[in-house]
Amino acid sequence: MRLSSREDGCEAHGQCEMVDENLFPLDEDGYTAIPVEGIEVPAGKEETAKLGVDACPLQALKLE
Amino acid sequence: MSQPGHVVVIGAGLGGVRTAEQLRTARFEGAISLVGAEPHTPYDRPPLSKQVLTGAWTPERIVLRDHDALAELKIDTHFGVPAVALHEGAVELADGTTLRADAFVIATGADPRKIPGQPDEVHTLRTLDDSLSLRSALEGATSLLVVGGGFIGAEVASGAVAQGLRVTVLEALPVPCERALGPEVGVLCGRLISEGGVDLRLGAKLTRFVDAGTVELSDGERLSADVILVGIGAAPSLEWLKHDGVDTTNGVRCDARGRVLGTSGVWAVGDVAAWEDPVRGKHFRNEHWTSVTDQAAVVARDIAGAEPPPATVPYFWSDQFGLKIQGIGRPELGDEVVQVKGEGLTGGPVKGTVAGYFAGDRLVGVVGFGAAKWVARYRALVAKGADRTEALAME
Repeated sequence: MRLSSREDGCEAHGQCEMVDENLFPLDEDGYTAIPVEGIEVPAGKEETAKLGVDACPLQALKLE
Repeated sequence: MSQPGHVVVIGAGLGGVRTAEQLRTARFEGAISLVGAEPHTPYDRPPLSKQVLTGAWTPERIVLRDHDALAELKIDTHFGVPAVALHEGAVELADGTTLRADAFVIATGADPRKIPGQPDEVHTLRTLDDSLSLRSALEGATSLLVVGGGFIGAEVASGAVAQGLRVTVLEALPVPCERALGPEVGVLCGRLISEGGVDLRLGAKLTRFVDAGTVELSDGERLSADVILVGIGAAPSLEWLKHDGVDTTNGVRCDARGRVLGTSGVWAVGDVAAWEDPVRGKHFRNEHWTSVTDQAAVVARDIAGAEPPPATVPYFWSDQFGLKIQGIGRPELGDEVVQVKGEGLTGGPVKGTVAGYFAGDRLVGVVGFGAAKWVARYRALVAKGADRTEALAME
């Protein structure tokens, strides 16, 4: 399962980080550090990943 | 607890759609029906006063779940037909359909408040149609009058100023957003509006509409504009709800899992619902995007018999005049406001200011103006109710 961000989608609401600060790190300015090209979701973290993606008010994260 | 066989979710805004989705996430295997008063594919509302209104986004971009995605989750939809009554074990729709079920989720949202005597041509902003209608009116206009200096009014004013309109905002109170953010931070909201190029009239009492383009104030002054928007808040949509025993004084009163008091098998989420808030110790109606999605997850898991999701910290935001206002926690519980970053509360620039709200020694809320990186850092401190020493030491 891959977790990625949409180009220019993030507006620094930080809601994903609140779900799991390790899975959804933010950069210095409060924007998501999840790259557009995506990362592999660690085994066992699939449900948390879904929660974090759903928490974004901009639908700026996606799971595939 | 065994799962119900059929859940009807009444209301297809964010709360309703998320509840239906989250039921599947929580492995609910029964039937789900989603009822919506509007004919549109379910959409997200925050952009209606922002990107959709300015034309930066097309309406397609705010779709939450299209028909295919809902069908994939085996969610049966009834759009364009409002519910007209809730009976024991059944909901009745405007087209005469009766949906029988053993669980109901009320997610009918809220309707914009209007001023007595408000002409029909005067705009309010709640639905996609409202947004498109306001956008089309603003396109040919040179002036806009906004009644209400809250977030919606300020966002619309901000977009209109950027499009070159002359904008006046009337706020009845001495500062905008006073009830939610307190007087000190309300002053900042007011500065943001007036420094953004708006003629902000504070303490302005509207007494009547002279016509669809003119209002009269309590001192007799008349103000005219090509377009008038009334943005004075929203009231829960409850007229249709005639279920015996439901207390609807200010929203549907629910326990901390969203179960409607005085009923069984009925839940409520979102703008329509006043949930018991253990932190506040009373029932509270939230109109924030994040509280709706959080509540949907709680209710879906309760219905499906799954473990509740982890507790969250309230969050709200507004985009206006080139920056983002972000709030965390429960600012209205604070008895003191401390400027923890920036200089706006001491007369400096609004941008970069972060206000901390303390109840005694405990941090209960933070509001930032164009200060996303700090807001993110304070979130954990608000979540744990950090003491003053720790909150002020944040670097």
